This record gives sequence, structure tokens and C-alpha cells, in this order.
Amino acid sequence: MKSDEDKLIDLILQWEEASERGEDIPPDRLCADCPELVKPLSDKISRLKKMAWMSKVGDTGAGLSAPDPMSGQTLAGRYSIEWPVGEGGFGRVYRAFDTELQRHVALKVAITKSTGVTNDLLQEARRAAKLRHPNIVSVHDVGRHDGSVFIVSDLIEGSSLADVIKTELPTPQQAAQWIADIAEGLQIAHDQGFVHRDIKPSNILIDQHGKALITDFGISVTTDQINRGQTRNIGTLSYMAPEQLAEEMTLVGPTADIFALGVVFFELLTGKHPFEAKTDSKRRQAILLKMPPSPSSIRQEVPDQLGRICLKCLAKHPSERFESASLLAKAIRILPTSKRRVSKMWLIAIPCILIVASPLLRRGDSKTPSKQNVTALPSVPDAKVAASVPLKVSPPKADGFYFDGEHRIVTPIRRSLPTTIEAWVKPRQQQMSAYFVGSGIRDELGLSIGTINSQFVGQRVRGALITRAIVEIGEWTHLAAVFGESETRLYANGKLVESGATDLSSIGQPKIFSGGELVEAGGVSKGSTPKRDEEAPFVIGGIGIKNRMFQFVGEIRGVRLSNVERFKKDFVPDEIFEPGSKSSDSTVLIYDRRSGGGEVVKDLSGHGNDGRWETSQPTGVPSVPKRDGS
Amino acid sequence: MSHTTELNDKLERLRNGSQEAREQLIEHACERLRILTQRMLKKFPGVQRWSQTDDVLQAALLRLHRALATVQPNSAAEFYGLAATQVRRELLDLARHFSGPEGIGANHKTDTGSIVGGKGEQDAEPSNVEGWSRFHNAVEALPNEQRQVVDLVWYEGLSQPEAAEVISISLATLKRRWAAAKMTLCEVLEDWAVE
Repeated sequence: MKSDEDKLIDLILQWEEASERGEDIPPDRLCADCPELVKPLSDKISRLKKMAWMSKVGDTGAGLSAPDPMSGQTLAGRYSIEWPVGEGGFGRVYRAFDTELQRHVALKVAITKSTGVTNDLLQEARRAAKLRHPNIVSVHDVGRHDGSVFIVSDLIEGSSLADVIKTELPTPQQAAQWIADIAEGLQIAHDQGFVHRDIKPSNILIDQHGKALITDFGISVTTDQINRGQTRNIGTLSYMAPEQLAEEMTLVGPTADIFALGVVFFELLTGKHPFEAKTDSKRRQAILLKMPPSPSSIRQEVPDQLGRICLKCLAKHPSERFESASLLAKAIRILPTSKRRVSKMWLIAIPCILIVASPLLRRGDSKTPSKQNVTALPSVPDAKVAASVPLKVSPPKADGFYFDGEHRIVTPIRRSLPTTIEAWVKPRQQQMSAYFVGSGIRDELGLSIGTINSQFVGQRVRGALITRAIVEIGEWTHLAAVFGESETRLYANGKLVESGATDLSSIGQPKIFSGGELVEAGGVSKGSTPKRDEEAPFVIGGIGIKNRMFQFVGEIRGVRLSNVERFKKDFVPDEIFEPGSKSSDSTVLIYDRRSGGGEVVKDLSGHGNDGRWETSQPTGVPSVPKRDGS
Repeated sequence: MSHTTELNDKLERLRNGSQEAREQLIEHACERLRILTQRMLKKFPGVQRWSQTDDVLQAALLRLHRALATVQPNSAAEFYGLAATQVRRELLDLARHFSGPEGIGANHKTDTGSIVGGKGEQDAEPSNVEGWSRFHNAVEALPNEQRQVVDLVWYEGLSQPEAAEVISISLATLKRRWAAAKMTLCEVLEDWAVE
């Protein structure tokens, strides 16, 4: 006979199961045979009801768990949406490809479908689209899709000043240069009647060349304000001017932007906020009443002249600040500054690419709302977003081959043992997992090298050999993997960093290197599922995996494949791979910048194993390049 | 392929040392962390924009991936358990990051209003980041059997049949533990609300 406790548990489960079907059975009905349990059961059910939210595990309110309905769609007949890269108050941001201009763009789709809101957003976007300046992220197009507004703007690769401040402070001269550039961009906006009102580090982007660009996401403010019925005090407290905080809206004008830029300047110079406070209310008070310290009192190397310019921006009353943004820029420009090399640290500090939606600026009308940002960062720390230009071949500036996460080189080489893979590699960004030289299909069939979170990894048929060696972002590293019949050894810059058994359990008869002979595809073709012994050829730059987030982004300046165990102990890596430098017969493939910049990548080993660039296939199965004349 | 069959296939490959299967599971854990982070922060008025939250989430995702990429689990249950634990700890860290006077949330607010939102009596879902911290800690303190179920069903987002399969228990047992866990957690959250 069951105890009361067991009975209670059974009753709870009955209630739960009914609840999952949408029924709410009253406790007294469940306890028809045991009325003494009504009370305890009621208590338990009450608790379970309060915890019903735990059953809605996928309900985030943002819908990220659901397949994105926009992916794959083409908007306005030209913007082919690839995948979502961020989300904010405004809506979702996608990486898209403009099929007419053949370039990648950032495309933002508003959440709201309210007619009034969409009209307002369209109006704002159209106004902002007229702003053109080298230091303002450009809006290119706006439109409607399924009742929502979408906005097309530059896709910016780089980082933001927020990242810079968090990682490594620039020199005072560099900071001043950026502030002057931004001020000049702001002046153009001010001249056209716009006030930004949300200048802050995360709204200032630094592109790959170190150029600063203002992004503005005024649309989100428009949305916010309309949705919340707010008309005032939209912005970010830490960067709001005293007149904004005091709600002296008639004073809020271009000089509010100058104040905010002064805060950013102060942070760039010192790494600290000019109005340090532990709580918002104290910060509010400090902005309204407290004088900021001199930047040079915090960081000695800040020249007094720059410090004074910064403090002038931070004056309490608008009339005490620079009268215009262009005057601020001029004040900086006339200072004697030495041209210093811009440290690239911050350009790579955050391994992600900012996708920027439009700089949408509003007119300085006190009755109209200001703006907020919806900076959209990629939702995955990875190569989900690749370079903004769809490269098929390496760009001229690259030391070797540049891989954008979408293209790769396919060779005629097949897996066999022994094999030595060598490559000089310079990753562009940290990736969760990216394999870049080896068998075109991973996992059970793979012999390849790559990185997992920057750690050098060798894939040997089954399972990976993970090393502790870090492949630094932005630096050249020589990686070598020797896949012997019985042992796999991994070398980073010529030093043995890991070794382990080569698992042959899933291989049938090992293939023989193709040498100069073209090996037929063996049934492997695009879209097919290869069988175990029909492994895909070696590829360079993006070992087949379905998810693009695993595609390598970076440079490879040289690759050498050998059908011997080339290294058995530590060695000094060859800077340039030359045929015949060791054993010419065993070197079956060499690619580097001498291989040409066209579609065909010339094999320098003398074995004729030329490769071809191709777009990474969604299936991950590369097509075997045909040899000329065959 | 049905979802359960697919899961079985994935687990089998994981047991056989498949790196791809592992990556798929890690990707799944990352996606769960992203979803749960959004859920945790969506009602926090101070963090309404993702411009800075994403930075922090990216770092959390990288840590999660790094942690899971290097573990050598003996079983799928162990892997899922580790993944859920990592997800929970990252969520706790994120909660700490976004709350408090020095938290990022401070930069987002335009007023000094309370960050604690009101809740109906019928719903004990935490309404602020401190509440979520309490919740995650409460899960950590659950008896092992209950925590294991919460890990799989809530943190990892598996269906109840899938979770039962992963830890090799009957569906009825799993349901029992799931209900018990929810009641325990409710008590903790209610106690906190009273305090």
C-alpha cells in the first residue's frame, strides 16, 4: 500500500501531465479518493504553477532559438540575407549580399510593424541617408519588407572605441586624431540640422585601417520613444550633457554632442570616466555639478594642451564649450603632433566584426526624440561574419593567400600515410574551431590542422590532438603536422608541442599520393555524402564543415605537403618552401604567393598538383580540380 | 532522422571520439547560453541594448567553448552535465557583471529607478539579475539527481524523453525529479522574495 507521500507524488505527476496538455485539474478532483491530501497537493500545485516558466525553455522573447525566417530571403530583389549577426532594441541585423553592387552590407530589419512607427523610421532613415562623410557610416538604402522597415548600410569590419578603452589605451596623439576625425564628421551632421545625442565609445567604430566612424542608431530611439511614449532624456547617462540631464531641452544642441565627445576623449586619454561614481544618481550629480580632473593628473604623458581641449568640451554650460565641432577639430589639428604608428592591438583585441547599421541622426528639434544605439555585434564569437569583400583570390596586400571564410583552395591531393602538412598561418580573428589545411571532409576521414580557440590542433582520422600551443591572431606561425603510420606529431614554429597515436581504425587501404597523376573524384561530388574510402581531396583555407562559423578567416602564406615523416625532432622552419630543399620526391605540393593570383593556384613542387579556388560548399564536400588538359 | 535517433547517433559518435559530434554539442551549449542570457537580461531595464552585453557574452561563449573543447567525458551524460554546469556558471558571472553599481547596466540607464520589476503571484520567474543569481545558485544546491535533470532540461534544453535517455532513467523517474526540483526551487525563490 502506498504511503501518503508516494500518493502525493503520483498526484503531482498526474497534475503535471495534464498541465502539459493544457488542462488544470483541480486538486479536489485529483484527491477524490484521498481528501486528506487536498491541502498538501494544493500547496504543491501552487508552487508548480509558479515555476511553469521553467518549462518554456526556448522562450527567450527574442526568438533566437527558432530558425530565422529571414535567412535565405532576398529583399527588394537585391539584398540576399545570409544570416543574423546581431540584435538590438531596433530589431535584428543581418549580414546580406547586395547582388547588384556585388558587396556585403549590414541590413537591419525593424521589430515593429506599426504603421506610424515604420513611417517615422523610414523618414529618419531617408534623412540620415543623405549624410555622407568619411567618418560617418553610410546608409545606402531603406525599404519595406512584409510591413517592416529595413535599412541597408556599410558592413564595417573592425572594433569600437569601447573595445579600445577596455583593451589598450591609444597614445594621446592617436586619441586626439580620432576625436578630430569624429568632430569633423559631426560637423557635417550638425550643418545639416542633425544632433547625434548618443555619442559614446560603442558608437564610434574603428575599421581595419584604423579609421574612426560614427555610427548612430537613431532608429532604435525612434522606436523606443514611440513605444514608451518618451520624448526626453534618451541617451546613455554617462555621456549625457548637463543640459540633457537637467532637461533643459532648449539648450540641447550640437554642443551636447561635443560634451559627449569630450567624455569619450577623456576616456581615451586616461582610461577613466571624467565623472567617476558608484551609482547612477552620484554620476548624475557629478555630471551636473562636479569638475572633472585634468587628464594629465591621471596619465602623465597626456600633453597639457590636449587635456585643456578635453576639459573645454566638458564645460558645464554649452556656451563654455567649443562653439562647433569643427572648432574642436581645428584646436586639435593645430597642435604639433608627431605621426605615430597606430597600434593595431585594439583592431584585433576583440575577435569579432562589428556589423554596423545606419548612422541615423535626428534633427536638433527639442520636440522630437533623440536617438539610441543598437550596435549589433555578431551573436557568435567566430567567423560567422567574414570579410566584407567576397574575395576569390588573395588580395594584393596579403603576404600570401587571404581566406575570407567563404572561399578555399582545393587541391588534387588525397589523404595517405605518412603525410606531413606544413603551413605558415596568420589568423585574422579568434575562432572557436577552424581547420585550414587537410582533408576536405573532417571527422572520420580527416587528416588536417587547425585551431580551437587559437590552440593548435591536429585532426587525425578520428579525434583531435589538441595542443597547448597558441596560434596568435595577427602573427605568422609555422604549423606542422606529421601524420605517421603509428604516430602523429604536431610542431609549432618547429617545436614539438604534442604527439599521439594515429588512429587507423576507420581507414581501409590508405590511399597513395596522387603525385603528378590526377585522381578521379571517386564518386565524391558536390552534395554527395562520401563513403569512408572516398574521402575528399585536401583543401586549404576552410575544411568542409556545414557551419560557416567554422570556416577559417585569415592568411596562409605558404603550404607544403610531403608524403614522408618530414620531421622527427625539433627543427627550424623554412621561411620559404622550396622544391628540392629537402627531398624533392617527397614534396608533393607547394603553394605560396608565387603560385599566382588567379583562379588556378600553381603547384611549385614540380608535381603538377595545381589547386583551384572555389566557394565553400554548404555540404563541405569540395569538388576536385581538373588538371589542365585532362 | 527523428530527433531522438539523431541524438543517439550524435552521442554514439561522441563516445567514439568524434570531434565533429563534440563541436555540435558545444555549439548547442553555446546556443543555450545565448538564449538563457537573453532570457535573463530581457527584463532588466538597465540592459536593454546589446551593444555592450554582446561583448561580455562573446567572452563567456569563448570560455564555455574552451572549457568544453578540452574535457574528455566518459559518457554523454557527463558531457551534458559539464556543459550545463559551465553554462550555469557563465550565467552567474554574467549576472554579476550586469548587476551592481559598477555593472554595465549602470551605463545603460537614464534614470536611477529600481531595477527590480514587479511580478505576479502566479509566476516566480526571477525579474532581475539578482534574482537570476539566486536561481542559478539554488540549482547548484539541489540534490544531485534533481540538479542533473534541471541541467539537461533547463540549461541544455533537452526534451524530457531525451534527458531520460541521456541519463538512462525512466521517463516517469525523470518527471518525478523534475517536479521535485521545481518545487524546491520555488521554495528558495519565495524565501528570497520574503527576505
